[in-house]
Amino acid sequence: MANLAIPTDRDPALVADVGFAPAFSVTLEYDEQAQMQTPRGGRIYHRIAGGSVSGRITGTVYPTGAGEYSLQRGDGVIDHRGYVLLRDEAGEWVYLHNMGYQRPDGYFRVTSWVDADVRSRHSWVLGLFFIGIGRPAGPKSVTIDYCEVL
Amino acid sequence: MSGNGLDRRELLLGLAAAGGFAAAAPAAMGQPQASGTNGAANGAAGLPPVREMAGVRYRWAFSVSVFFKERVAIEAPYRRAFVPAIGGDIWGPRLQGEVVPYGGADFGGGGGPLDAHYMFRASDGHLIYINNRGYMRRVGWDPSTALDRRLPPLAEGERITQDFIAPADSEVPLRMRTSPFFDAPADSPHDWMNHTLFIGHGLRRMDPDRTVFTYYEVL
Repeated sequence: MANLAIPTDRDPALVADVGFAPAFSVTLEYDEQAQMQTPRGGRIYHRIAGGSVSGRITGTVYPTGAGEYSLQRGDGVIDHRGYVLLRDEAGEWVYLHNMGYQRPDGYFRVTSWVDADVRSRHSWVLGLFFIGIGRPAGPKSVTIDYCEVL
Repeated sequence: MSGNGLDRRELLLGLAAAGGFAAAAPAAMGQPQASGTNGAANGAAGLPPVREMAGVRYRWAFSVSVFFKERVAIEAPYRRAFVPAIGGDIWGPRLQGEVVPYGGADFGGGGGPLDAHYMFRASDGHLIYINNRGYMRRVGWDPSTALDRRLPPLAEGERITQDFIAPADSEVPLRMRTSPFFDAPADSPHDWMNHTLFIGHGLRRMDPDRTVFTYYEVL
């Protein structure tokens, strides 16, 4: 079927480049975990009990009320879903929503959507998303290194 | 600081033109390749080079042109747009095919986050669902101006106008990046897309109205 296509769109010069710039790193500490079998798969709850953020935002992870609610799929992959509140050293609030994949081979990649107050010195995050690379930081802790996508 | 970081596309495009994928892309046109069926293959023949920046390893996976016609802006309290995908083309080393005509739309946009849902049909016949989430952030945008939008008052009996335009990148420079999530059949060669994070780069083009997306798999 003749579908829509413009041959010059396939010009190799149009394979647009992207880049990455380090933004901040977040270490999350968990104090509780539960898993339940649901029609969607295994819902994995991690209570976020604290942590820290460093880089272009420095401060702490707010320890009460944040969590991860990831889904263990049938193929062994975890659909990661995390909701995190940060507080910088001046007391400003920043919201992170992480979504991505955790695979049995250790691949742990998320896209993070960030909200800050428009009056905040972190308003540069507004309208952007970030790429996060996660790694274990301890038995009940992970560190996610975030990059802005250029 | 934020102004400095807003748009490096010109620099990045320059880098791409200077080398990048020129050797790999032509081989990807048209026929599916055996290497595209093996999600675990790394550095296999026919794949573009793995690149690395700031600790992120990535590689060009495929590109998609998505063509548009209707654009509707719904001035809800949180703005919403409706822009159907009328068709398109998919090419590159790891996926070839077409965008299913009227298989879905961008239901977000309108100045807020993009949230598009539509369908690919791979050249082997498999359907693939894309949920493309992202942003189109105007270069130099001041976030504080995003609050308390005002609309001009309607005259007596005036009909509201909900058409809008999305200009070409050459007219209004944008940094458009997306983070698509795919659902592909588990028993298909595209299963790797079910567990791989991607980065998309969007370029607005006109005549005809379309966006060319360049997708990278985050390795």
